[in-house]
Amino acid sequence: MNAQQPILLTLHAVRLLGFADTEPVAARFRQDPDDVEQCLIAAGANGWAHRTSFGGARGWSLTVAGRKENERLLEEELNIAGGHPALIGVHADFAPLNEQVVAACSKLQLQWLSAGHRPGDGIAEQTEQTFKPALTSLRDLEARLIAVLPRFSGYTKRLEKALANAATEPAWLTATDRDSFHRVWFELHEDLIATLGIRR
Amino acid sequence: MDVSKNVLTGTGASPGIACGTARTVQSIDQFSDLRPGEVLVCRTTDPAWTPLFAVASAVITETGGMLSHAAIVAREYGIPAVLGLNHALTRITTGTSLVVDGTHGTVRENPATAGATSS
Repeated sequence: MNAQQPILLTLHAVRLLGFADTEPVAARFRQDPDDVEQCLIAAGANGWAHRTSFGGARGWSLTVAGRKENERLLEEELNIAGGHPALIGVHADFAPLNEQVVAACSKLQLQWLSAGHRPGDGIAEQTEQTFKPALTSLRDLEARLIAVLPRFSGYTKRLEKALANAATEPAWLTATDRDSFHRVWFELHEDLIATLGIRR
Repeated sequence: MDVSKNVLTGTGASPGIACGTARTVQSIDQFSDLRPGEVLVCRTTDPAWTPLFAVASAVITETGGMLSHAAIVAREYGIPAVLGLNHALTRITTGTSLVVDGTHGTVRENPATAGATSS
């Protein structure tokens, strides 16, 4: 582990989670919560992160300066790993999958909005046509990512869990209050963009 | 062209109609400016912006469309979203009272308050 890794992983966890308290930030990359708390306090002193209450919850978020520092550290990490060509290739292969997944999520949501609730109808069809094939493709992409940056591990496992839960509870496909298929997918998209320094 | 003189159009990405006061948010450093019930107006969103969807009455972005992460998140929160509204950050001013129609993709000044000065 290089000396910069704890702060890189801590800032990046906040970036990916968006707004979260110390425990989930630490859990994101399996870091020690006490170490992460110290790291976040130091980040706060540097103007990179701040702890606020928002919508009734308390948590950390990055500042603009923190986001810049996060991107500087990610660029350094990628250069050291020599991973730029691999990441570019994965991002190119991810883009069409992303379009399919977002379209499938949208199709289901619009059906649910017309119905006024989340019936199970259509879940199996979308799962077979889109979510499962996307997951299969993502296993290969994750392997290519891990080969250069091991911190990318875990997305496939979380997506598998979300898909398994969605079989009985459709909210696991798109909800924002849990580790749903879309939330994990959105996080991976953000991770790829942030690591490559691409602006949305 | 601004919202006080025109109906602005983008993509109606999350259905429904909401009225609220516009709040332009340029960056994550301005998140705390958003008050409950205000209409979030921004360039784009990423996971850091998701908590704002729980507070806003509607969302307007300059980028994105029907098939975007922002659309999916807005539908989950049940708030109207008009996405891909060009130059929304310059055409809409914080404090303007808006009617956001996420079904038809339109944004207009609320006629009940048009011309009123907002603090």
